[in-house]
Amino acid sequence: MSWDEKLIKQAKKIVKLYPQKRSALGPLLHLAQSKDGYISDDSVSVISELVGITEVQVKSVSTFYSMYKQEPTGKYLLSVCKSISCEINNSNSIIDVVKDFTGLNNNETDEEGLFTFEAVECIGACGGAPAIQVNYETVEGLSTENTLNLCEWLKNETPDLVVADELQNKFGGTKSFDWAIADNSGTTGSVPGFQTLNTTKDKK
Amino acid sequence: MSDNVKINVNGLQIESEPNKLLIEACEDSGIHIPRFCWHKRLDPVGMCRMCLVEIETPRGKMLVPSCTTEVSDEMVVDTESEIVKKAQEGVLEFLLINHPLDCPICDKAGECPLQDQTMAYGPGESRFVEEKRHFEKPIPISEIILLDRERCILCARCTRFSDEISGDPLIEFIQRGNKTEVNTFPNEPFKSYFSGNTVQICPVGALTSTSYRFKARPWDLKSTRSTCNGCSMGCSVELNSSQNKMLRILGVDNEHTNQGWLCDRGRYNFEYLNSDQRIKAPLKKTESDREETTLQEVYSDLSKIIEDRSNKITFLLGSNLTNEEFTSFNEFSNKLGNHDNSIYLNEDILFKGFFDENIENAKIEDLNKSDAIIIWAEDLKETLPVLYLRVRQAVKNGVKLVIFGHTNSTLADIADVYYSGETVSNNFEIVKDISKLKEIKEFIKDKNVTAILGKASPHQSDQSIEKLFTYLKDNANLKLLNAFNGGNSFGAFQTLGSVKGNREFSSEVSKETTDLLFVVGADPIGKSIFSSNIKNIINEIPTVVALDLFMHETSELADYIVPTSSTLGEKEGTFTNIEFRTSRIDKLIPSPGQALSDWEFISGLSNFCKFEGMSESLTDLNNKSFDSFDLDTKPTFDNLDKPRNLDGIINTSVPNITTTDESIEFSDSFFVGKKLYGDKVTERHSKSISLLGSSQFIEGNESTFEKYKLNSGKCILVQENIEITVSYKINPSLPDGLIFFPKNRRNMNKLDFSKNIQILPSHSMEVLNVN
Ligand code: SF4
Ligand code: SF4
Ligand code: FES
Ligand code: FES
Repeated sequence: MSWDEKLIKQAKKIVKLYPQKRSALGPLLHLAQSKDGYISDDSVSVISELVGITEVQVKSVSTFYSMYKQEPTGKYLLSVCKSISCEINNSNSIIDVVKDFTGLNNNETDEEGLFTFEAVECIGACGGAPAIQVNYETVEGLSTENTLNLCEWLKNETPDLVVADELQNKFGGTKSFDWAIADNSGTTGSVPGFQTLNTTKDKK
Repeated sequence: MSDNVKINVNGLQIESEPNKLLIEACEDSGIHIPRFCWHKRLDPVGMCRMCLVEIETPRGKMLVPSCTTEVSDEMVVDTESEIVKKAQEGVLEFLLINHPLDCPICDKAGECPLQDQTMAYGPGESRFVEEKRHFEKPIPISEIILLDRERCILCARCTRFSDEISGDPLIEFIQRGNKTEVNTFPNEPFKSYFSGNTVQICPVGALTSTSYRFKARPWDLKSTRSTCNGCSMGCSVELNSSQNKMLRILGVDNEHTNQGWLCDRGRYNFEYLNSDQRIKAPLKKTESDREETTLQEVYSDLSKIIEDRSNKITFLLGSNLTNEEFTSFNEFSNKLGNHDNSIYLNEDILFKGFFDENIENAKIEDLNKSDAIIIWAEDLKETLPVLYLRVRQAVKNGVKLVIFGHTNSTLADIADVYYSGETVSNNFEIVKDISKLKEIKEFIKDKNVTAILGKASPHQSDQSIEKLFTYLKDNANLKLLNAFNGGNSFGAFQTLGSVKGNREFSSEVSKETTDLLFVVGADPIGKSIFSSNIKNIINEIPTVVALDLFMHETSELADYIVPTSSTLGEKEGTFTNIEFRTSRIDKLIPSPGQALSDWEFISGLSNFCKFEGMSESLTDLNNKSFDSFDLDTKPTFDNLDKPRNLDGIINTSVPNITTTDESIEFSDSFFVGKKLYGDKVTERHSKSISLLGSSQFIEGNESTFEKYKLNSGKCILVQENIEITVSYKINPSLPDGLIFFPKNRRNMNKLDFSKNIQILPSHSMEVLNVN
C-alpha cells in the first residue's frame, strides 16, 4: 500500500461514516487528491480495497468527475469559465489571453509544472462574469488586460498561496458577491468546494 | 388472470402482469420495440433511448423509454407514431455520429442490432461531416476478448453483466460524455470465467473474441442447437460452423438451465475439433511402435478375445459420452454375460449420492424459490460454473445462502454464513454439533431449503456429508441437487446398470479380473488422483483398447486405438444434466478421417461377433435408454425435437451408483479439486484457451505458508524422486494447515496424495543448482 498509516487511518474513519462502504468513495478520492494533487492508480488500488469494489469501478467514478484530476496539475490551475454568462461577457478573449500566455491548450500542463489551463463550465460567478479560478480561488469581472497581468504576476511572484480576496483586489473587476473558500489549499485540498458569504474574515 | 392490467398499444388491447416493463409486455404480445441496452436478463438502465414510445399522460402525450416504464392499468401507448419515429431516427443519428461504420471488417456485420435497426428505423441519410472520435482498435482486454472502443455505443450491457450476473466487474465506463469508453483498469485484465457472454450480448462489434475474429460471416454459418457437455449443467448452446469447421458456440436462453449464459470453457473449448493432432485412423501397437490398421482388423482381433468366454472384459468410460452410448456399452457388457459389474466411470469423486424415492430431486429453478440454499460440494465456480451464476441470482433475489468450507470460498462474499476452520475440519468433517449451529437453525428450520451436496474433496468421507444431509432432511423441507459435475454423469447413472468410479477401478481391477479393457474417452492417467495405480493396472492388462480423439497419457498405452467423434458437434444423442433434464446433442460437422461414434464402434464389433438382440440404430438406443422411465413424454428424439420440448425433458428415475464406502487415505494437510481451466488434452489443443490452464500453483492461507518458510512466490513439491516447481497463492479462506492442489493442472497427476508431499521454498533449488 502506498498510503502511509496516518492517511489510512483517516480513510478508515471516513469509511466508518457511511452505512455502505462504497458511499465513502467520493471523500476518499478527495483524500487521494490531497495526497498527490491528482488521483494516482496506486491510490485507486488502495481505495478499491478500502471500500470493497474493484479498481476499475473506482477509476470509473474518478474519471467521471473532472475535478478529480487524472494527472498532476501545475502549481497554478487556471480554470477559465466558458459557460453562457461568461461567454456573452467575452470569456473567449480571456481564454485566448490565457492560452497565449501559457502556450497551453485545454487540459494541458506546461513542462515546468507552473500552469495548468482548463476551460470549465459555470463556476457560479455569473454575476461577475467573466470569471476565472486560480487553484479554485475565484476572480470576477476580468478584463483581457487584467488577465494578462494576473498571469504575469503569478509567473513572476509565484506565491505559495493564492487567496481570492487578494486576487480580486489586484486583478478583479465587478464582483457579484462575497464568494470565498474556507480551505485555501487549492487543488491539493481535500474539499475544493465553496462556502457562501462571510467567510473571508476568518481566512488565513 | 384477473390481476392482470390491460393496456392499449397501437389501438390493440393487450394484457400484462402488473409491474412488467412496457417493452417486455409489448414483446410478449408480439409488438417489437427496438432497443440496444435493454436485455431481459439484466436490470434496465435506460441508457440508449432507442426504445422511446409515446404514452398518454395527464399532461398530454409524452415520450418515455419503454424499458424503464412499468405498465399500469389503462395505459395508452403508441409505438409507431410520427413522434416516435422521429425520436428513433434522432437516437440512431446520435449513435451513428461516433460509430466508425467499419461494417466490412466487423465480425458483427450481418447479425448486428445497430445495422438492423438503422436499416429499419434509421434516418436513411447521414448529415454528419465532422471528424469522428478515434481509438486504437482493437485492444485486448483479456487473453480471449478484444475491445474496439470506436464501435461501442455505451449501452452498458457488458458492464452490467459483469457486475450483476457474474459478480466480477473488471470492466467499466471510464471518462464521461463524448470521451466515455469501456475499459479495464491498467494491468488488471478482464479475467472472468464468463467474459464470453459480454461478446454475445454486445449489440455491436465492440467486443469480439479471439477465437472467432475474422473467421466467418454470419450468413455463411451453419448452425444447430445442442447441449454443452463440459459439465453437468447441460447449458443450451447453438453451434456454428462454416466449411465443416466449428467456429463458434453461443448460449441459448433456456429458462430452466443457463438462461442464455455460458462459461468461457464451455464457449471456447472447441478449437480442438479442428486440430491436426486428432487421431484419424485406427492404430495397433507393434513391437516397437504402432501402425495404422483398419477397423475390420481391430474387430477381428478383438472378436477373438471376446469369443473366448473365459476372458473377462472391463470398461472404463469417460463421462462425456451420450446417453445412447452409455446404453450401448451397457447392452454390450450385458451380452458378454459374466460382467454385471464391469463398467467404471472415469470420475474421482463418485459416491452413492442422495438418490432415492424419498428424496426430492431439486430443479435448478428451485434455487430461486427456496428460503435458503445450503452448499457443501466441490467449488461450483470451477466445476459447475453456470450453476454458480444461478446461485448468485437466487441470492440477489433474497434467498439465504449457507456454505460449508473449504471449497466454495468464491461465494463467501455473498453468503449469509460461511463455515470455515472452526466448524469444518481439515479433512472435511463438521466438528460441531450441527443442531447447535445458530444460523443453520435459523435459516432452515421448517423452511424450504435447496441443498447442493457432493463431496468437497475426494477424501471427504461419505459419513461426513451424510451427517449434514440427514440433519437437513429431518429439519427442513428439503430439495436436493447432487453436485456431481463430470459431463453427462447423470446420464451415466441412469443408463448404465450400475456405476462405479476410479477409486473402485483402482482397487478392484487387475489382470486377474480383466483380460480386455476398453478405455473410452478417458484419460485417468493424466487426470485422476489415482493415476499411478491406474497406470500400473493398465500396463499389466493383456489387451487395452482406447477409443479417443487424441493421444494422451492413457491412450498412449493402449494396444489398439480407435479414433472417435467428439460429443461436441460430431454426433447425435442426448445428455442428462444435474436436475435430470435430458436434452438433445446434435451433429453439425463431420468427424475427421475414419473417426466414428463410440456406439457405432460397439455396434460394429457386436455385428462382427454375431451378437444378437443388440440395438441396431441410434434411434433404437435412444428409445432403449429411456424405456423403463415412468414418464408420459419420454426424452426420445421424436419428443425432444418437438418445439415445446427444446429445453429438455425432466425425469425422476432413480439411478444406481454402487460405489464402495471405504474412504481414501489422505494426508490431513492436502485436498485436491478441479480448476475450470486445466491441462486436458482438448484444452491443450484449443488455441485460444490453451494457456489459461497452464499455470501451476497451490493455495493455502498466509500462516500455513509461513510455516513452510515460503517467501519467493515459488515453491517446490517433492515426493520421492519427483520435484515440481509451482507458485503458491494466498487464499485467506482456507483454514490453517490445509493446502489445495488443482489436480487438472500439469504434472499434478505425478503426485500421490495418499503419501506425504514435502513443500520446500524454491531458493533451495537455486542452492542445489549452484552446488
Ligand atoms: S462494449 Fe458493447 S456491450 Fe459494452 S457498452 Fe459498448 S456496445 Fe455495450
Ligand atoms: S457451465 Fe458447464 S454446461 Fe454450461 S457452458 Fe460451462 S461447461 Fe458447458
Ligand atoms: S457562466 Fe461563468 S461563472 Fe457562470
Ligand atoms: S432499450 Fe430502453 S433506453 Fe435502451
